Amino acid sequence: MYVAVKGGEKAIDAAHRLLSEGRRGDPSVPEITTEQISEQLALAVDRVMNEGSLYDRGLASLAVKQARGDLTEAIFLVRAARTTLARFGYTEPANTSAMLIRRRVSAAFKDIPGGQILGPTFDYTHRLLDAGFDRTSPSLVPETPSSEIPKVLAMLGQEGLIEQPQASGTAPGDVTQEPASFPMPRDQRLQTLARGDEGFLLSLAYSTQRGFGRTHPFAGEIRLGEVEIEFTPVELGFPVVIGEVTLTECEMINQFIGSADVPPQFTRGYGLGFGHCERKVMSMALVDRSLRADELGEERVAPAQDEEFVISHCDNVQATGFVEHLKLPHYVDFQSELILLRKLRAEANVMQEAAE
Amino acid sequence: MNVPAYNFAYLNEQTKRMIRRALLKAVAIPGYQVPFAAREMPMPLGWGTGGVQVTAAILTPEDTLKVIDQGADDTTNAVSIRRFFVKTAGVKTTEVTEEATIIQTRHRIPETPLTEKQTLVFQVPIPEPLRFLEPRETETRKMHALEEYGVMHVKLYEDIARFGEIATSYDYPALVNDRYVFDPSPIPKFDNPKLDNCPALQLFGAGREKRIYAIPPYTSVKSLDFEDYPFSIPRWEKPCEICGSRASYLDEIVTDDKGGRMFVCSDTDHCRKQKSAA
Amino acid sequence: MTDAAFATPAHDSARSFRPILDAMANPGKIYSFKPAVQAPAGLGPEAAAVALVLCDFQSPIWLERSLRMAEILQYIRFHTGAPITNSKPEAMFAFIDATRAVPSLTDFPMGTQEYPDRSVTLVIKAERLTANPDVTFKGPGIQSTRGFSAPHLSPAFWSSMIASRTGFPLGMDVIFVGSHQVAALPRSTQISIDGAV
Repeated sequence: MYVAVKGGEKAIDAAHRLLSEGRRGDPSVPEITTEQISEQLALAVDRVMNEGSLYDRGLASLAVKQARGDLTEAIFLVRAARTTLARFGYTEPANTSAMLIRRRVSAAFKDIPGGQILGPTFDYTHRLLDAGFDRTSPSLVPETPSSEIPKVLAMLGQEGLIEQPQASGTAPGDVTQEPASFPMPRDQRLQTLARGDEGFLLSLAYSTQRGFGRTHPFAGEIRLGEVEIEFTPVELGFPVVIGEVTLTECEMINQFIGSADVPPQFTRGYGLGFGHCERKVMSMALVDRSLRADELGEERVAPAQDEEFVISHCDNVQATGFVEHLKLPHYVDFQSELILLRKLRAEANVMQEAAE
Repeated sequence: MNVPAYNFAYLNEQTKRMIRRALLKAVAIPGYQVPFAAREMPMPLGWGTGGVQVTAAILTPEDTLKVIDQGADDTTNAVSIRRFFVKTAGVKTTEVTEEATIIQTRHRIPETPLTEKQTLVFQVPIPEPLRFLEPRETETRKMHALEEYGVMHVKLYEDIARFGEIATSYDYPALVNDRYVFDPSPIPKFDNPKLDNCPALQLFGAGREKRIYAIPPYTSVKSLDFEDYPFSIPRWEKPCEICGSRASYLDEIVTDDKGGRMFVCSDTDHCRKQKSAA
Repeated sequence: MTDAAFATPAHDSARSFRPILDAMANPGKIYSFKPAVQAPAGLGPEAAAVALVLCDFQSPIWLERSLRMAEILQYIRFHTGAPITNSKPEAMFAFIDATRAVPSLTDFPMGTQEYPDRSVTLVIKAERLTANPDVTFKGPGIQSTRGFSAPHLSPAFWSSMIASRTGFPLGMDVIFVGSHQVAALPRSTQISIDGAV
């Protein structure tokens, strides 16, 4: 006698137990702490803060640990925690011009006021695995950060060589509070890209360089450092500093435009992210620029220029959820398909036999 | 490090207000997909987060909740969602359809007829019935605005030309209140007739796609068809091998690797009741 | 001193929302509605509960003139954070005291063909709601027909409600509150004044 399959509850409990064991690994190896993750896997933590859309190193480190180093899973954990947080209001816009700079490069000029500051970068390291590295990390005295370094694109702006961003006159939207609708204003596009998957944006950015929506970019300026965040409490009526965040910003200089009314000017692409995330913000700046195709009167021919395509598919929490949901039982619908297919085949056989 | 604590039914009150506003508009415009700012939930998007958010926004401490997936209460995702609400809201749960005030479901409508005192919450992966005919939201939104559903009829007609009948066996589109073509979620078309003139309120939540829609009680829901190719539902040759039911949707169980098959009810609560009544 | 809102917000707001949802799903059906909330006299606990359950900084509120009293403004601002607007086209919710005055309904947002949900919800305060068939409702949520009556709602009001739904799916939706009562009238309901539907 067949008995209907039962045991979902038990199976889930057992799976959770196995996961805990797997997470801990060999108990003879010391357990990693969230402080170690935050300090020594800092760029993983930065990525989780960025795409998790929550600036909290502690929670992001915990998420990396809990997710066994699966960053998409860690990002998901942070997003789910973020949902539950009460919202007090919006900060003043972060002023990246007043950044305490640790790294700053421009590919557009040989030398610039404030100088090129190489800072902490993998660039120009030889990517040779170093067996001695994991035991003796050299300790370095941090360089004194520089502040109030003028922006490269602002210098171009003085000459009118680059478009000046126009204030929209309306308060920025909030993609975490309002559902997306298309066409989407640039502020909301940028918010979505900032939360978007680094790998997806990287590949899209790459595609623009290979001709799928070419925008002729120059890395005008990339800067990394600390920025003070201000908030204006209603009861005070003036902004107060509530903390400091690490940001990476990329301003791309792109192909110029011009018209009968406006002489030719370079155009901009913009990227900004939490922590140290150059690859992300460069990709974001390229994709931002290519998504401005309609605004700048360019023909949309490539995936990276297609707003609805890019915006609807760049979120890895959404993407992984839907791809992986195929693991869930679908046997009811599959049964419907089986019935239909058997019926269609039976009818086809009858027809064939009749024909013979 | 401050790990956040959660509210009753997990969502914070502001999120619930936003969802509640969307729900009222959804009910007021039957079959129309209301955009809402769906949140990330502690389960993956695509795994029922829309249904979970709708349930969380309507749940009271006095409710009795039933959660099914594939018609069964004991499937893993149903267990997981039921536990979520036990943990975050402390509500009573049941497997008995008649006892439930809220039923959250994926892919099925219970066989036991629903009543006016019940609300059925569907988990929806793709809320847009026209999505696979037109991938752009900007276009499908216009098509709904203009009631331009010809493309859907063309698709169904092409099925007939190719296969001799409409080759859609689940996720079967229907017309709500003679106005909006809607996606009933991937329920088998066997369940479509239950949508029509149902005494219970039916709510649909798509979390990843950020849409909520609804069918009020006693609302007309017509599965799309043609006069010469009327809508029909599948029948099984044999009854359920556990309870003997001839009227319920049956799962096919593979019993060996030599073609052995048996058929049993997908609605496990219905099956148990039928068997104990026999 | 501002009146207190819900003592246990998550539970109380959930208990208050369900009758509102059920009312919208069953047009004209009158539900018991006894929200555990204090409110300024002019507003009353039922209308106050609707504001607390549904309104916040994302939902601008328009108040009919007789409700623009300092205690009410203070209560709504303090407890919901909702912006109060004097512009009907900006209103997501409009609170009206039918015992005082029913304003012209013409300038409230009715939504667009692509987004019919971007429309106002009227919250109309009446003394009591009954099933007397002053008007008869028919449509989704109603098995056959349902009678509805609220004193102070004039034939002119019903005529304007009827006029507002000729452009369905555009329209406005109404939540009625009476003493310990709530009912609703979504735009999908057909209304007839003389009983013939």
